[in-house]
Amino acid sequence: MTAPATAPMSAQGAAAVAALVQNLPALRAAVLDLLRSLDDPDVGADELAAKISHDHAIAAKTLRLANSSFFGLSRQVTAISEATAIIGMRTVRSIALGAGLVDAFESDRCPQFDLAAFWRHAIGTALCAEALAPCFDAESGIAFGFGLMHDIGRVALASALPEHYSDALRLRARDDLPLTIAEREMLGFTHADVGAALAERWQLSTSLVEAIRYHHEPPEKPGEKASLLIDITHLADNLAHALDLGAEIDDAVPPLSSLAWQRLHSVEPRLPHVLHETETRHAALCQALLKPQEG
Amino acid sequence: MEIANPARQAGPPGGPSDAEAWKAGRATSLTAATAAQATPVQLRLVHLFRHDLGQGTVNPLFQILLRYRSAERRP
Repeated sequence: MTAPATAPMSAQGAAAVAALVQNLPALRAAVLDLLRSLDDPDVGADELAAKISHDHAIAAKTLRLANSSFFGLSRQVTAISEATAIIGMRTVRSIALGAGLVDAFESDRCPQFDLAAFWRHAIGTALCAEALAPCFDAESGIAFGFGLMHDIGRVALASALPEHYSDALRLRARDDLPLTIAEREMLGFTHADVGAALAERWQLSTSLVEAIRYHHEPPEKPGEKASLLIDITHLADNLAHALDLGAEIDDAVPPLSSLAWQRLHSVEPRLPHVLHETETRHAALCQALLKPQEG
Repeated sequence: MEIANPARQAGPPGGPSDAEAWKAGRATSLTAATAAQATPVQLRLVHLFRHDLGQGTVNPLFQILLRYRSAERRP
């Protein structure tokens, strides 16, 4: 189960990643604001509601989600500030983030890449991380955001390097390789490298950059808060694959880091509850966040 | 039924020949699971964990998911 040891990315690979992320389109300002405030304890509910309300498309989608069956509210909410008061600031931030991110990338030019499956898996990882977080006294809203973002390098690759990424995905399918091995073989770097570089370019928090960079291979350092979130993201990613939430025919559970599992294995008695929570909420959140053809 | 972890020395239901098959790799693991009359849900789990199973390594999540899937099928 141990994750394979990683060779550091070559200078050539690092240069390619840097060039690639420079060429990606910028995120909408509201999404960037939400991402940057993800683990900022100083952002208050009013400020957050103002950030979301400022972007009409995201605000509308957030309200649609807040009024969906996912939350089961007894009455309609019509303003972000109202949604924040009823379902909580963290939750509103999470769904606004999801609403903003799912529309941020195009991947039509990479036919091997299944964008709908990508988001189904990302949403599943987010929900699983959110359910795992309280087991370790971590903040569930932050864990949700980290889970949602963990594979962002994949959609960035499909968008920016569609032909090369198609080759990597074809190699993965042909030889049934773990994704990161196929990516490294074909590109010289992985989606984790690209996602981390992108998060750095977007000036996201160091802990989120590290969770994206190390979500397949959590580092050895002891349980500081940042590395706890890396471990949670790693475990949530594995569990979301194991629950088959992406529903990709050739999906495979990636290697589980034995170090991360040593640090988190005390959660085992609570995992059935975590898995049940994740599965029962997944369909509703996908239905609310994704376009019909993506769900 | 339970699909045995490939790294276990004691074989799964069906005897040591199944255990040997598990250790031999992904394709034979799937064959052994089929021969042991695994349910579609169990077969899908074997497929999802095929990289670990094919390598003969222990992934504790495999057994956890097997138990979880079995429990949710019980009335």
